[in-house]
Amino acid sequence: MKNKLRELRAAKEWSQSDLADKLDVSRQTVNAIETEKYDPSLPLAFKVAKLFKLKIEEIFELDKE
Amino acid sequence: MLYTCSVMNNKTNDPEKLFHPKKYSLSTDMRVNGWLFFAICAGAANAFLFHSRLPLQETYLAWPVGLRAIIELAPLVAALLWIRHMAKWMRGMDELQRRITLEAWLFGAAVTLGVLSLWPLLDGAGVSAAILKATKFHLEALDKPNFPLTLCLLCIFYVLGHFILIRRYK
Repeated sequence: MKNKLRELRAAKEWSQSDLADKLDVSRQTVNAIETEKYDPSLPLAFKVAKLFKLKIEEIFELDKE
Repeated sequence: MLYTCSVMNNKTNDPEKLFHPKKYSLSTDMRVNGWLFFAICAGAANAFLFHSRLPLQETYLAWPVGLRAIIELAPLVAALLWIRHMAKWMRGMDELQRRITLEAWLFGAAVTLGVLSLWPLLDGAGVSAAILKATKFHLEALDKPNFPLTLCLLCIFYVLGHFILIRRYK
């Protein structure tokens, strides 16, 4: 799954640790999501969407393959 | 007050407090693995005092059955308490850390089971004797698997699994 988390975080000038604190997850989790090595659960995806005031599909996108 | 406490304690449990050299916390380790430490010590003491060639073994058999049962079951009870603490700690992790930890435990349990099941076959094929000849290292402990040894192997392979899996998400 592709995502725009890194761009959104950079736009807010937050570090990975800042974002991790806001989402109540570890910095490693934020890094794994940004590098697309880990797909977040639905509750975490909702949390991310709520934090950036966007819809889930505006942040996360399914691979077309 | 209750609200403040719940918010202040809202931080997720971080496995790096057990594995990362810079972030290591002895208090966290004792909170999570204290009963494991007790189980291994109790099991090793039990094996050494009552199941070795020490003179205590003869008198031990004359002790009341209830007392002997308590001594034999103490490491198992401690291990069950450790599993409870570990499960509680894992529930407090974030989702990725929980996944890594669960996979690492699965890896650790599978490899431990494999080693303990395969060792008698390898031993029968003369591997133990060959290792002893080459390295002067006795592997007799593996011939008769016991509780502390199983726990130690499980923890060693869990830590190994954790480091293998953590690389996947870096």
